[in-house]
Amino acid sequence: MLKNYIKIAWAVLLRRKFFTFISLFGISFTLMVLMVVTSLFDHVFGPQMPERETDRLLFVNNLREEQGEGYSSSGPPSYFFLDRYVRRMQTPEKVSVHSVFNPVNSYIHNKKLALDIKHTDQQFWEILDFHFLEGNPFGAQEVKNASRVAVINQTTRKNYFGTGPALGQTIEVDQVKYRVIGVVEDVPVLRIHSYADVWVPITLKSQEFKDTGLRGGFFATIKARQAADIPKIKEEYDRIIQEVSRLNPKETKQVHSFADAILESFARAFPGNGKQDKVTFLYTMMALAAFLFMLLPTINLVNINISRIMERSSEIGVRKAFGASSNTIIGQFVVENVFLTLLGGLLGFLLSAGVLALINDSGIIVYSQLGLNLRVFAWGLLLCLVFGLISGVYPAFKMSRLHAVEALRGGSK
Amino acid sequence: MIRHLFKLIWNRKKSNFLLITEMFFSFMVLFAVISFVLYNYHNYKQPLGINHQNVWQLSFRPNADSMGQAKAIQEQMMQRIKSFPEVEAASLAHNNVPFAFSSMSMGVSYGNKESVETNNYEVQDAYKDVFQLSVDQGRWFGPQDAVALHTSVVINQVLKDRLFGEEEALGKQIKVDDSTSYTVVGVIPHYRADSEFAEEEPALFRRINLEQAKPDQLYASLLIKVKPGTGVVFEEKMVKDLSRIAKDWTIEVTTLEKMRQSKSKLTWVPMAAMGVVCGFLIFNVALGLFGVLWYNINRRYSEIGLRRALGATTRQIRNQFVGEVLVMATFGLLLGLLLAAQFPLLHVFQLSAEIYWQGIGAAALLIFLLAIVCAVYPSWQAAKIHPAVALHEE
Amino acid sequence: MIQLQDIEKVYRTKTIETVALHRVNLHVERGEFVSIMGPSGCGKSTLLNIMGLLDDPSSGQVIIDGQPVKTHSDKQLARLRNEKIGFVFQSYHLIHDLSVVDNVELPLLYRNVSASERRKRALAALEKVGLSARTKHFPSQLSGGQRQRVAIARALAGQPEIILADEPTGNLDSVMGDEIMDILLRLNQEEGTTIVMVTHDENMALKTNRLVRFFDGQQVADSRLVEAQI
Repeated sequence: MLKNYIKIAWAVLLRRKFFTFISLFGISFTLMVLMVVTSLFDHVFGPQMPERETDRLLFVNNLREEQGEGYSSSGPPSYFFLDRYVRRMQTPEKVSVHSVFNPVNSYIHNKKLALDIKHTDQQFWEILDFHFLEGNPFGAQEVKNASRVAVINQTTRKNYFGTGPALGQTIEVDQVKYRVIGVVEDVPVLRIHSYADVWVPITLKSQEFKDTGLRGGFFATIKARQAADIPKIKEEYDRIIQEVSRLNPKETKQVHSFADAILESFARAFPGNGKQDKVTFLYTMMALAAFLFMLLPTINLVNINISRIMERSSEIGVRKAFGASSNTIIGQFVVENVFLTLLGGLLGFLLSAGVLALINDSGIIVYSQLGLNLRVFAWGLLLCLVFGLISGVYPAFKMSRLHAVEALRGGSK
Repeated sequence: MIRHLFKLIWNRKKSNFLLITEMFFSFMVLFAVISFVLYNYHNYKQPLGINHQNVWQLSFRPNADSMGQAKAIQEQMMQRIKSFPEVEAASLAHNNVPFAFSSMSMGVSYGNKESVETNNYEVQDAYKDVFQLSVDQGRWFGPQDAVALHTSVVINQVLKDRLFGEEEALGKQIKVDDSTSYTVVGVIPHYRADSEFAEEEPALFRRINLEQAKPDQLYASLLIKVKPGTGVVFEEKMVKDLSRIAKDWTIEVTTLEKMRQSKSKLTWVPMAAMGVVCGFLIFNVALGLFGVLWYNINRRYSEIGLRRALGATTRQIRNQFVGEVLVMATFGLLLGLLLAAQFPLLHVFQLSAEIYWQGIGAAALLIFLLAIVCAVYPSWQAAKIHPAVALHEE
Repeated sequence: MIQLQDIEKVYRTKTIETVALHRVNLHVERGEFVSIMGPSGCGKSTLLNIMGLLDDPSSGQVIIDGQPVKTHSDKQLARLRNEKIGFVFQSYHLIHDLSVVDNVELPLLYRNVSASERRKRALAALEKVGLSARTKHFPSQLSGGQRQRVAIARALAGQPEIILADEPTGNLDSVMGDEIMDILLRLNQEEGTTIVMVTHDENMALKTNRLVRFFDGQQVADSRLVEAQI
């Protein structure tokens, strides 16, 4: 029976080529846009190399000092603060302190390379899953000795060393020579906590360790033993901040800082102005935007589906006249719609894969590796199915209840 | 005839409901996107007021040990830079150079008027030559301002209009707080240096007076105008030389052209993405509209035959169907207009009302165009129907 | 009034050629009430379509008021249909989404007539068919006989010289059919409107004053009936 249904459905879709095309176009392109947007979202906020275990990671990237009279200043915390308080936290498994990435210049063969450099400790490499193509990260020894060693990314390796060997060679960055000990895959620039072109030991920046202010140019990345520990870590962090506020020099009234997951820190920085955590707000806005975006194609789909069914009212009449029950007719339309939607889904899937590959290749987003999010794809497809069924099957259901004669005459008026 | 069409659509409002909703949402989407694009385009057409060709920015990050001598080191660097024949002009500044992701602002006021939030730039005399600024009232500041009682400042026309309106601005004092006032010595017509797509904001230029600066005073940027054709070879040589003066400082060089590009990318990438998504939505709607109209016309075969029998010409049939679609578009537009008109009326998002009205007009035009394009072929098909055949199809 | 000369109508598909009308000559005089009879598929409706300028003959010509229409443009034909001819169909062909009075106004819509004048004439036409009470109804709210009366009113609204009726009583029971027939007869006698009616019903046909019989696309009989039969 099902095979027969599918056969008929296929025949119908071929016969009504134009309507089929409109439906397929609508479904597949809507899914495609949805996929590209969610993949961009994942690219920025989701688990991704090297921040793979996002549910176990927290980031400290901002500290705000309130000085009274409404004057406040905020920015990345200092090494002093992170080293003295955050590194000594009890609940996390590991804490890494590293500098923000800084733009520097490097010159090679009369060409300029604008590079971003980041100073890190050895825990940085333990917490994050960098994919090493060559060599290894620097360890505790190199950090302790402030060795001039560097890990570089793949693109820098290509631009600086070409096809020749890189390991053990010297790279001169900002008038300083480093020995290359590792090459890693590129990290997307939007991953501000891990991204850089060149990573060197944090001790090379030791002149900044002496500054006892709370603000400076450093981040911390915290890794929990398990995802369930995250609230405990946040609690401990909040206690530390209260402590710091209390101990603080007279002119500073209040210190604010948070250990946040990636999305939280974004939601705090932008809609929340660095104060409230606005994740819910952000999600609401995104859901609203997605809803508005889906609305038009959905109305369109419903519209087309209704037209498609109405057009076939006489067919329903004939089937009824020859003894088809209401159920068989509805079954036919259900199969037809599901079939069409799945076909659109498949097309949408292929299109999304193509467009994502195109974006990755075009270099619009530096070092991007966009991939398909299958969960979102499934949701999109489900949504299409629901609307397809509502719009395609409900009129059919109504018509299947009509008497054969009325249906033959073109349905109710 | 038009009344007849309205009557037809109105009586068939239930089955046309979805089409009208679709038109309504399409209108809203187009309105939003077009207003956004118009706003950016409108800003883009305004003069920047600066010439950033061959201007480089050197940014400094000193190491902590040498902070105490920052001023002395920078003075040495300035001398070295001015000695290069490739450099035409050079001026220190804070990080809020044109196209930078950094801004400094403060409130200034004149008389009893409310204070105006103003971008505030601390620059040297040569800044005018670096960007070839034109001063149309008064003069740019110079060494003679070093001893002025109130700091001499140059402001842009936007700030002048906000503070003084039609009044003369030159020689007047503007107040920052109870203890600080500035004297206006010049007005420049434009200074729109945030982004090519941004509106011009009030701007105020203060003179850097190195003699009076504290020893640890640091200006994080140095802007230089180089001779055309100067490239990376000179850049490397200059950085090496400067590194010898400022040991352990990080010196970064970038061209303002590059900064302009990355700043404008911030606007046009989302704009292009929105355009593509909007285009897709509209195309989708167009296809749907086309399909539904086609189907509707097929369903109304006998009506077409009847109208022909009653004396309608092919042209009248065609016009009727195109007209019906236009009437539906009008219904959708009226709904949309009700909503869209709130934007200029309530000044949502601070865009000028003119841009909203232009957006509404353009969106309405596009919807009508879309409706006509989608209706022409099916209507032409309808007009071709042979009346004798159509009347017997029942 | 309407003159058909040597009309041939052939329908061609790829494989089959069907002759619908063969050498038909018919002259309808002003003021006549002509009925056309014949079995299904004998070409009656085709003939009516050709008379009503809805269809072109394959050969031969149609002459209206002494004017051959062969070379008329679409626009001229539309104008003739609009001003000289009124149609009544078996299945009424009312527009569902328009009220009774709006339906009746339709032919006037394609002329330069003001809205108030249209309304006046439509109401007058509805009065003639006895439907003044139902002008605001929609066709779906009317019985079959009432719908056909609306259709007749619509044909009348344009004040045509000739009404072409294609089985106007075909979908109606005999009581309603008689009502419709009475209206047509009255129009013919009181207002002198020329009527050509295709029918299956011998009784109806006998009430008219001229009967033309068709068989297989050919005219087989043409007889004048005595008026006194009414």
